[in-house]
Amino acid sequence: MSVSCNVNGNVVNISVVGRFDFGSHKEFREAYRNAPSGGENEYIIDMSSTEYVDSSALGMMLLLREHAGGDQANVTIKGSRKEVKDILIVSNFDKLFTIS
Amino acid sequence: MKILIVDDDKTNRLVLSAYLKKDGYTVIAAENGLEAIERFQKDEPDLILMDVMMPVMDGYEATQKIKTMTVDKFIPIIFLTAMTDEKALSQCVEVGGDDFLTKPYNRTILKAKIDALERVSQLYNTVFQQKRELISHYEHEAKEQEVARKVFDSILNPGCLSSQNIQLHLSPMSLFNGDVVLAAVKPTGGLHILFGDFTGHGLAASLGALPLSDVFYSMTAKGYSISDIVREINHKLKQQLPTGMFLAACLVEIDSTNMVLKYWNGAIPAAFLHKGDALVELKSNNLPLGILGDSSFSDKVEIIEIHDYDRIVLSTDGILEAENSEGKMFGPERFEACLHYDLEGSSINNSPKDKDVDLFQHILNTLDEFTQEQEQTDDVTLGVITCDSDYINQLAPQKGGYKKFIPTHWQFDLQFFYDSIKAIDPVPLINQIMGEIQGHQIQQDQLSMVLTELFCNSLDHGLLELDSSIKSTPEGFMQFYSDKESRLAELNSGSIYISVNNVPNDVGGDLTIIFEDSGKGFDISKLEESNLAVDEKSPLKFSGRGLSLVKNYCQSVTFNETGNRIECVYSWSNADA
Repeated sequence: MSVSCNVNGNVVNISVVGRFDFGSHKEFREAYRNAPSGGENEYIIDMSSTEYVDSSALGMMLLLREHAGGDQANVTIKGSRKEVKDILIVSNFDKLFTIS
Repeated sequence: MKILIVDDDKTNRLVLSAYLKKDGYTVIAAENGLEAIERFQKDEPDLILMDVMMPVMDGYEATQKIKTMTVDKFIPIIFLTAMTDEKALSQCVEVGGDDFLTKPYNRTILKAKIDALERVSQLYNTVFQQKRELISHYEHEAKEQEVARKVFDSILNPGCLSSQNIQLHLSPMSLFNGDVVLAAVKPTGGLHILFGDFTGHGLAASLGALPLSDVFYSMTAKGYSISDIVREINHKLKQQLPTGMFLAACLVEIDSTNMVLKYWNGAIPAAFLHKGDALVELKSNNLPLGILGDSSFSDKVEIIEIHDYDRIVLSTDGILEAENSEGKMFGPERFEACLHYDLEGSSINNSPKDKDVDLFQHILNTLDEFTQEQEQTDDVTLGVITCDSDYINQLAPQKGGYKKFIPTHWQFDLQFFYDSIKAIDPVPLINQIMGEIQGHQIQQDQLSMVLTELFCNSLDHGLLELDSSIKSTPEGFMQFYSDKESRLAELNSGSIYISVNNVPNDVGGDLTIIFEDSGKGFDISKLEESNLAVDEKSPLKFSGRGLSLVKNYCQSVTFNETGNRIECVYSWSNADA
């Protein structure tokens, strides 16, 4: 699995390729560590190439949400495939993130 | 660096030793293979220069022996030999030598070989050391988990998980996969069940189980509802767990008196009610616990009517994520198909191959067939709970408390206005007050049931003016609960007055319980009629049930003329005696 992060002004693009699980912990956090934090920034997680998410990955997404401003955060998850989307929906993450 | 020279020729030893000392090495020497082994054991050299042909023991044999003595350390051995035939040289490597050099040797090449092997040896030794550390870390962790498991086993209340109507597949290490299953008997009868899955793995994932089980068992014992419990658990976990750690959980209440199932599901993907002829998904409508703050958290429970022998199937995601040899996951579709196993009128798998295998076993068998590996089920937590009201009703709730109390004379009066009725459930509060005064001498199961029925009567029929006769059809039954919810939300006046008085006697005491509501009341003669009309054999025996329960447990039950005040006498005997 690999994580990349692009910052363009106050738009932060993060892309997760492969399995997104506990093993990705360090890489995922490193990826956005230096990205601007706070609700005035727009975060986009591209999950079109994410094969799988487990509960640790959901936890990491919550950490990212906190970095991105907590309840004021503006985080969009885009392009997730059906299996991944199902997990996000069952966990009701659509209440915390915009899932497009 | 210490080098051992092994050569039977004194001149060779002296010359070589002089060279090496000049290059800064510490040098020791042996005259033959046997002596080399002795020096090796005594002086622990870092590298050995070995002659082949020697008296007593030759270089091949000495090398083999030394190499077997150094399994966790790399000691390079370089053969220095006058022999040049290929077979003799390859034998040097076969017996464990790391390199060879033919005599007469070039001093620079020898030095280069020593340097190269020194680097290799450093690398080897670092790897060996890391391996040792890893093994010791691993053993340490295994030991720690073992201790933690023992501690958890004795702290974590087993509740009523061993009840006959609960079938559970739970591996001994499931706690370290973050899985938690709790079950307790409610003081009013019925069961509370929690299926949970903490984020992550290992000891960290299991720690949250302590506050969780604490809240679950103590609040259940005090008579709180699952919505109160789930709110408190969320509050505690949010406060105590770091961001990113949370609990996916499904809380279920089986109300075996009214035959309803109430549930709150936050992110448990595989939760179903198997009704014999239909499958109802217990949908996850909430975020996992420990994420949202109190104000945005919703403790709304869903209500479903149940019948005897309906089964609740709960599983954490381990079963859905179990993989077969091709890396395919078991997945929600296969899981759901499993549940059609003994479903009437189902097109899938309608005829069970073997009637002796029940639903629970069928799911596990199907999973085993799919994964082809027994050990896969280690990560699987699966529970099937059968709604057998007769069995559930005879389960005894857990008792607590150590203080000694004697029955005394007391009374308390409480009045709840409409806004507090919306916010709190007075029954646990009353139980708590009585518990403070009288300890656990008053058996709370029956009494809680009486109090709950009395409160519901005052609220439903007094303040909310609901008609329980609509409960006589399944549709009306659901309608009743939804009407109750909406009317309660709109309630903007009224109150319920509650008084409890205890007069001690030889065996315990007599409680006089009064519930008076500010509602219009009703024609009590009508109530008597409808109550008489309740046919115990009728499948639609919903209405009037509450009152007959109260009558069953109380010495006397009287209404006032206007029907808005009910007075009951409940006799209790000391449960500790």
